[in-house]
Amino acid sequence: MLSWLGSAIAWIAGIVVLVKLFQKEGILKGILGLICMIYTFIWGWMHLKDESLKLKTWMYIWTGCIVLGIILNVIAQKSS
Amino acid sequence: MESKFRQTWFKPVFSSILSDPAERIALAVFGLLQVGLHMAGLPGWACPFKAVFGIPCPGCGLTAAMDELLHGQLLASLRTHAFAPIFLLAFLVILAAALLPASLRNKMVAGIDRFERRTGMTAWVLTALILYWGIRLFGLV
Repeated sequence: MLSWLGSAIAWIAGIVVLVKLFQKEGILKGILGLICMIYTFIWGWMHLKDESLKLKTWMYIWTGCIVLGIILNVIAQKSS
Repeated sequence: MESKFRQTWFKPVFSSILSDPAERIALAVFGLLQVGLHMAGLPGWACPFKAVFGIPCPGCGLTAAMDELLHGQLLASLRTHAFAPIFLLAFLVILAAALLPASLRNKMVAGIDRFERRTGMTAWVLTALILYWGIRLFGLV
C-alpha cells in the first residue's frame, strides 16, 4: 500500500514535470519524455533553477518518492 | 499551418540533447545504471505508469529488450520490445558523445543534426513508437 501510494505521488509529480517539458521544449521532446521518464527526470533537475517553471517542489517530491520506492523494493526483496 | 508542422516534424531533437553536455552525460550515466542494474538482476527505475495503473507506457520493456539484445538474443529482444535495436543504437551514440573528444563529437552531432533536419527521423521513430504502443495495448502483437 505504501509502495503504491509512493508510486502514485511520484506519478503525479512526474506528470507535472512532463507537462512543463511539453510546454517548454515542444511536442517531440515531450513525447520522448513520456516514453522515457528518466529523460523527464533529468530535464527536471537540469531546469530546477528556472524560476518560471517552478519545478523545485515537484522534483523534490518525485525524487523523494523514487528513493522511498528503492528502499521499499530492497526491503521487499530481502524479506521474500 | 504546414510550415509550423514542418518545423515541428523536422526539428532536430536528438542532436540538441547530444549537444548539451549535462543532458548527454546524465543520460549516459542513467542509461548505464538502468541497463547495468537490470543485467545484475537488481531493481532499476520502475515505470510510474505501470506501477500506478498496471498499464505499460510506450517505453516499457525497453530495458529488458536491450539486455536481451546485448546478450545476442535478437528475436527475444524484438518480441519484448521491437524498438530495442533503435534505442540501443541511440544509447550507444549518447555514450559516444559523452566520451568522444570535442572535435569528433561536434562533427558527429552536426551530422546527426543535418540528418534529422532532412528526414525528420526522430518524429518518425516517436510516432511509430506511439502506434506500436497502441497495437501492443490492444494485444495485436
